Amino acid sequence: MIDWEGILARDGPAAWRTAWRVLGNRADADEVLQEAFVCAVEFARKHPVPYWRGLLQRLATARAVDRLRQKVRRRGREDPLPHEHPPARDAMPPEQAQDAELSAMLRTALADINPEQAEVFCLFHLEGWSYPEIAKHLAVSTDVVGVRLHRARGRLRELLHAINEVSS
Amino acid sequence: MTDTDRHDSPDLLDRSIAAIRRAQAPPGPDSKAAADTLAAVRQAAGLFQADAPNVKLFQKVVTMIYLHKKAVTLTVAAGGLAACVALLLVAAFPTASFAQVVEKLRNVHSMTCTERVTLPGNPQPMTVKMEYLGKKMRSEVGDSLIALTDQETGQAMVLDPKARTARIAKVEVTGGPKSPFEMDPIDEVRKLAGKKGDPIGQQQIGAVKAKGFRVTEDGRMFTVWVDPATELPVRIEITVEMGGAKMNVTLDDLAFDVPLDEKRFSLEPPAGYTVTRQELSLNMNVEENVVTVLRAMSAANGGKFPAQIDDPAAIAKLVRADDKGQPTPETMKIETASGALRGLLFKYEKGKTYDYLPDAKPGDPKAIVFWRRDADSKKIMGVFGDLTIHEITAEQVPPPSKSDVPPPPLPIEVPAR
Repeated sequence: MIDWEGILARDGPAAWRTAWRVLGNRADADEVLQEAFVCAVEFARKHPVPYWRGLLQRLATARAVDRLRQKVRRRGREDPLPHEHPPARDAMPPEQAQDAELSAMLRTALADINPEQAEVFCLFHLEGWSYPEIAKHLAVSTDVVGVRLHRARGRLRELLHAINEVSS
Repeated sequence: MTDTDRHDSPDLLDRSIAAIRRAQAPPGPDSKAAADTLAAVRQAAGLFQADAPNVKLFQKVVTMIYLHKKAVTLTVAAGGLAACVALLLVAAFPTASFAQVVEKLRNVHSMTCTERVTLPGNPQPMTVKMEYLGKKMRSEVGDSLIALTDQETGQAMVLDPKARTARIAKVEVTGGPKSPFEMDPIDEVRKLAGKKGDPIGQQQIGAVKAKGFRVTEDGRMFTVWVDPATELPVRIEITVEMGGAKMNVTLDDLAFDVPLDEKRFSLEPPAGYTVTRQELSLNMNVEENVVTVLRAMSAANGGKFPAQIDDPAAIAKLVRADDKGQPTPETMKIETASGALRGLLFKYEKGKTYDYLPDAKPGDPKAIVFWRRDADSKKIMGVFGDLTIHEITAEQVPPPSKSDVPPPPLPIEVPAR
């Protein structure tokens, strides 16, 4: 018997924040949280789940990347994504504005790269997972994780420079 | 490299990563989003999760009990004596003593059996103990769920002994019989009596060397093992196609005309239980259910028709909860329509006797998004892009949908951390 209410209370916020970091707004994070949990229900029917938070964060990342791609395609790259950017605790107003702009640029670029690479990138850079952790969750080798991350970073750099040039 | 380092880095990528990481994410979803998620989870867990303590489970059980008779013949949580009798008759048909078997089964007043259901993608079978007494039925899923129905009154009750809750429903049906559980065994027999079964040899089942027969009906394969001495089945195996995957059902421990206590079928809730009463409305019109589902799903999908019309996970995402964490009336309406639709379409074959065409343009009064050839009347009904329903001709039936729905992504393995 799975205590879904307990899992939601314990691990839901972490999964929600994972989605929020990728998407940058509350409404989309809400939707992704729901999708991640529905996927988790399906998963739990077939497999034991020893670590719910990891599964939910991984599912939230994948769904958030999918949603980011859909939104960017729908809106066009020139139309900025809706995002909330709560300031860092110690950031000054100019830094806050710069952070908001950089975050939006990265999210736009993330929508344009291979989703598998984007997922690895988010898990590593935004969630702080290690190579072995990502490899285990994706059922690939650490070499594959490294390759995907390397390609993601290379492609994101190109895209960020292109976006930066257009906006400036 | 720390976030501070990244912030000062000349590398645009590192600075962007740092910007996102520096932002203080809100602590989590608000209570409304959390309630919606929990309702969706419970819905998705639904019937297959016997502990789901909400109305959805109850509603689903009731829906499936009814659809059992109408379309599935044998399904997950419940069955009808008539359907089982009919099923047994189908299987017994090829035996030399068919007439005696028919007569025996026609006069059956009570029956018990154990039903094991293996769902697609879930190797663990669900075991349901079934009891039938006249027109009443009792099914038990483990020790956590008891479903009772009375086809004469159209009432049903689902008990959760652990949570000590009783959910009682009066089901109103449109487009079907007065009672949602109404059955006519003789009629079922008449419909199925002409089917032919193929002998498949013998198998030892307990102390019985049973004869096997196989019957294929509406895409379902029945394998029935009959005791030559009693001319009654000792095991029945059914395979049902569900959206390309197979559901396997096995009936064992079959016993006929066993003495059963009438009290076990009472629809009076036990003392000390928290009782919830509900009136459910089931629409048995396929196309009207299609319209209800499409309207809800397209509204949630930016105006586009969904890739699949029978995807429970997509429906689960539409679940919205009220202040008490229960699904809203609108949610229940959508879910009921979806559940009815999935059951009703069991006996139709996609691409041959019905089809869903998600590429149809929403709002277009000439584009057919769904069509179905009725199994009884042979009329072809179409649902158009503007969600109107009209009878169409065979010439109007569009070619099969070109957009193959990709399978859902395979879940990843989750190691312990």
